[in-house]
Amino acid sequence: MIIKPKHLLLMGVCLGIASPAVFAQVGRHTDTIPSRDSVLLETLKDNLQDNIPVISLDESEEESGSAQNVSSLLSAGRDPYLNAATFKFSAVRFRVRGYDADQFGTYINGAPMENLDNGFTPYGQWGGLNDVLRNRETTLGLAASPNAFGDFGGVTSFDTRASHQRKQTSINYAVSNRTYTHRLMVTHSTGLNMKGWAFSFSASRRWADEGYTDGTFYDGWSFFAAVDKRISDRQLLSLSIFGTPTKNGRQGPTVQEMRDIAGNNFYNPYWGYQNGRVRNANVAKSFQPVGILTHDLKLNDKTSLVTAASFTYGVRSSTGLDWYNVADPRPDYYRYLPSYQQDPSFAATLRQEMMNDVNMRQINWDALYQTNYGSYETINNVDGIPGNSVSGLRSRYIVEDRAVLTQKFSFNSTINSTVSNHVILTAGVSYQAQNNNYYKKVDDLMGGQFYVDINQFAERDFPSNTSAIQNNLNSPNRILHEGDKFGYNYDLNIKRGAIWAQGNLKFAKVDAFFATQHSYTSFFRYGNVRTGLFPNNSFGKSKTYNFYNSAVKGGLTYKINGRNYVFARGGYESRAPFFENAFIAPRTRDFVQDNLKSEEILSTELGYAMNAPKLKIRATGFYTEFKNGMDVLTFYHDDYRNFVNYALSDIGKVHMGIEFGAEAKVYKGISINAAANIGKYYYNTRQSATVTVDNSATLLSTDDIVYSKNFNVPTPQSAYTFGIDYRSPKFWFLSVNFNYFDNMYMNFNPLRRTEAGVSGLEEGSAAWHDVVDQTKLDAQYTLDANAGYSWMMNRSFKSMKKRTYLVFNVGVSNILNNKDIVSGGYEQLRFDFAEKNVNKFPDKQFFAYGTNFFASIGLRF
Amino acid sequence: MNKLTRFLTVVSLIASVGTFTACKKTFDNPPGASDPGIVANTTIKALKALHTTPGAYDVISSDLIISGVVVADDKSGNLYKQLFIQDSTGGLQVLLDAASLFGTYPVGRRIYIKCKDLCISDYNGTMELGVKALVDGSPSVEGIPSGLISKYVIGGSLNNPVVPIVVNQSDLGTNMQDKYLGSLIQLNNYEFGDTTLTFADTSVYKSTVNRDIKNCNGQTIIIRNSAYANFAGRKVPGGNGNVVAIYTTFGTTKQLLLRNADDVQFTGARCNIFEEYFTSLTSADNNQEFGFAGWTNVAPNSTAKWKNTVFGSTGRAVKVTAFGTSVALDTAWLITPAIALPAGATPKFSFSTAYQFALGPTTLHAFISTNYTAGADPNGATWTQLTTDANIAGNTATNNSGTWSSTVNTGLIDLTSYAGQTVYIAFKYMGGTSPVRTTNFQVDDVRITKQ
Repeated sequence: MIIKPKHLLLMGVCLGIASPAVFAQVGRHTDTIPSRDSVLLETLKDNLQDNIPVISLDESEEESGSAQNVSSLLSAGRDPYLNAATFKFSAVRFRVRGYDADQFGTYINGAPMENLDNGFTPYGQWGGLNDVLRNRETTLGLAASPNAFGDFGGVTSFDTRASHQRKQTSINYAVSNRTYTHRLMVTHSTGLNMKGWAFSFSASRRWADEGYTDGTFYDGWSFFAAVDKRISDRQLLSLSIFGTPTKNGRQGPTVQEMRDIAGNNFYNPYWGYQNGRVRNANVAKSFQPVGILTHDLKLNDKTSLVTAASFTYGVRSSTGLDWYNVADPRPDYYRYLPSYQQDPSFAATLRQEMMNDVNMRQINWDALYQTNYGSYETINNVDGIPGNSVSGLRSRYIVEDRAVLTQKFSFNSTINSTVSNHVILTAGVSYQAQNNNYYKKVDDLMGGQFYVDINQFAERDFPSNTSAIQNNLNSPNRILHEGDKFGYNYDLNIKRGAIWAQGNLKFAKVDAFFATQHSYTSFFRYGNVRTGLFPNNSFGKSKTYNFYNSAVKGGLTYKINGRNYVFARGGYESRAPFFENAFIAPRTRDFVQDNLKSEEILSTELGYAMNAPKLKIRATGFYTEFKNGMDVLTFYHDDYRNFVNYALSDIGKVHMGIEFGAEAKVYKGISINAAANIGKYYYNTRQSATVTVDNSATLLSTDDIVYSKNFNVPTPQSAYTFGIDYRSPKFWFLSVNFNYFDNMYMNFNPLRRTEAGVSGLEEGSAAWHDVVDQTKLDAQYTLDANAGYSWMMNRSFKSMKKRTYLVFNVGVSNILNNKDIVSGGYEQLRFDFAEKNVNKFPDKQFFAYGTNFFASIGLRF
Repeated sequence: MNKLTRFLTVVSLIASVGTFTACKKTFDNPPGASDPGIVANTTIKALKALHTTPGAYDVISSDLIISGVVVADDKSGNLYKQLFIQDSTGGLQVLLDAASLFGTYPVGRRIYIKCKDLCISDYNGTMELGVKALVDGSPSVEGIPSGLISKYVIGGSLNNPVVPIVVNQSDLGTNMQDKYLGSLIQLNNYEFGDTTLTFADTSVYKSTVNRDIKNCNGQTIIIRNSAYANFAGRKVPGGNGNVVAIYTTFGTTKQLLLRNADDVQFTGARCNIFEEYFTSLTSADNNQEFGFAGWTNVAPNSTAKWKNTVFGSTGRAVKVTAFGTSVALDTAWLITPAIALPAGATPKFSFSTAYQFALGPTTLHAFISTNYTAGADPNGATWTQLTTDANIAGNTATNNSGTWSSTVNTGLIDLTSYAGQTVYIAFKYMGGTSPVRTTNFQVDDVRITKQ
């Protein structure tokens, strides 16, 4: 079987992937194909664990600063602690060591995958491709990584190369009640043939009319194709391309009052009925295909060189309602809630009405359309041409699509040489470039005929200034139709280059390593429109900001004997600020935070590991200090009728704690496992906040001191699990785990912890505590169970020539149906400074699913 | 190749499981607005008749349904959380506790209101329909809470004709049941009294203000404007014409509410050919030399020029005095800009004067000239005296009181013989030391009417 290159090209085009033009020279080959039967059960478990829901970052949370991103793909889970952290603790969005997502790196086939704008790994770009992502290697914390300097949280490296995929065909169907209802997945890998070719394909579809939460549909496709050509004994050339066009209705965070009215912690304000059908206003769409070309060259028996180039191109977007000088269409807007009524009898009536009528709790699409139908207007001086008038139905409500078009390129080359029996040297160079284009476009005019590209907030502030109100002075009063870009439109451009080197020493009793990295980061903003309010600071290229950074890390392992180890590691790095945290209001202008500087991170860890046949233990203590962090939080403020930005600097944090994991085989197939994370993550500095409004060059306040010292980092700090596994020699297993979480805190609004936030309140009074104290969430528990069975059909049907397996898996999480688990929450950034009423803009929260399951049946041959 | 074919077949099978369309318009547009199957069982007039005691809160206990067309909404921001609806029997203010009502209830939309449990009351004589609420223990009528609006107010068809009722000011009564109260009316041939003002207060205080308009018969009525109206900062139009507005009262004061600035179509010629009330003077101008554009202010043989005077909250005029002069005959001229008197008109001239420290025989007289050149020495032109001492009390008064006299108008002085010509009018003050003539004069309300 031969596939000609032109076929491949065709496939590439079908998937919308532009292949990178750079072909690398040489590479290294590590054979990691797992042997078949010995790890069958492990694979079986992995397969199940892969399907524990990936909790992905929600945009609104991102805006509020709680970057929560846990990937089920983080680890293969051989380490009992990591296994627990990844799978058992995911209900509460546990984060390893409490670090932000930018502290974890991900590589596929040697190419770095994380985004340069915020350091996050875009897991969704390979969602649904579980079958081809099984080969992976994870390092945790400061451990030496074989193919990168690595982030201080850890590095995961996937190997999707076709010749490294198990030769088989797999067809799998799954049903679940989580984000999707059905999944169908087909994978076929050929293995390396006699002529040195290997191919691997995978495709899946995940879909649901409605997921666990009301109004959340899901429609995700995934495609993967890889080809390897072994050019000689020493060279392997690999190409992997994949893409996951996905659309799903999103779930919004909610306030207690609405959850009470709806009688449901999973109340979702994002949907409503249109013509009797459920429509979600907030639809996330994503299609950012990736192509990776990897060249693996064995220079000699001791030295190998792996070179990878990757390219990503595509749009990720999310829709939402936009409206022009009309009533807020969101059903949970605070003025629509009973608590806003002063007369208690109205409040009671309203509450009753809202409980009885689902349309009062959800978006009333039909009414929004009526408004547009009645909105006949004439727009003058269209496109800035005097006398050019357009009349018609000017939409008052529209669905807009906030999009990011990403183009990302990376080139990465790593040389690895075994210099002697005791010394391994590794070194690498890396270059990454990313351009993000941020814009909005009109998605749906909702029955109207046009929308106008003006800034309604500026219009209210400067009613008679026809320039200030323009979103784009280069085409004033532009009439918009569906598909037209409007509002803001800017690019960010980031380049990063790095060199690194690492030496590993191995002796009988002691292993040691030392690594260092030097990098250069530069970024700028490029405005594609000239904003009326900032004509001189919005269009064209901003200043370029450059940063030179260094990092070092090293470690020692003392081998007490073959089973007991102690290790100590330490690292220091300075890290360029992320674009997102540098520009204070990039939608309208190119202003950056004052005193833009690199963040500094110091981290140490000390541990003990035991690896005996019947007992595995690892215990690690860690201490990490972050200095000079920056962040920008943005939200809509009614009073200013505008977006307000909090630019925070001097963020300092300490993350310390103990990780513990153990696994013991107690009797025949029975084993027990336990893991614990006992952490203390807190802010150790007073942050500095500068507050700006999108529509004004005036600073609302400058260098406000945020009394944030000793506040908790809002991520679960304590988590425990205890479980029992049974593995039958008859190829089935059953495992049960009980998990417990404590010391979880809400994300806090920094401006409440300022002098203005408490002025007029008596220090120590109840009202003062209401404003200042950080909310601690209730401790929670869950019970999970997994089971699986693998039937080797050849045993029953002797006539079958090929080994054929029928594999069943079922996993049930949160069996006790605990529906009160807050999986994420934040204080609204808007605060009632006048009356200091913390309940006026109450906390918003997300909840972990109640009992949920995933069951699959798969055929492998 | 077989395997690959098989594989590709399976993949295409999956692909056809669902229709993966490019994500456009899977939702129908809902149908447009139309009148619901509701029938009004009473009229606005009959509903208003239920409220007879001013200030009472009449909660409606029966299933009354009214229907009306929205004649005024809050689009411009001049109205806030209120609409006016009207049927053939009258108009009514409806209070709804929500902003941007025009989105749902624009002008021209027919709406139906289920009045049971709502409350009809009045705010100083203007009736309003809302809900009875207890705010801090005392009853009041408030807007229907936003979440409950749709339970009481049902929207019907859009774009129904909205035609104001053309009335005379004298038709408008201030009785609470007056048929025009709350209705959209039109008054013809009005103009703003003071054309130097903006529609409303644009200062940070954002107070609501009254602006007077009047017709050529001298009848005035108030237009009441909110500082939150999007036309608040716009200058009022200077001409004369028709105004469309909602008629309301505040006690016995008649007030008009505009929906937007286009409701005022004052583009025609004003009642008066010329008028100057000096209202654009500010307190900073007080005692400064008068210097309006086009006017000539000269004192050829002294320094006693005309000055601005600003007193009280509305007192604006010009004044002159020869007090302290060392000149025997001290003359101060104040001359208007050129005024074109239309041919065929029967123009009448008038102005007001007041005096202080009267020491006759100081004289102030008005003169007219057809050959003067603006800014030139007035002595080079021919002037004809228009006034007599009978017109100007200060010319003969001798009471030497420090209190300003009351302002007296000259009465109409006929200028018909000048129709068709361009004229200048001069106020010539003559004081001096010999004899001592230093009476202080004020001049205001300079006006030439068409007839």
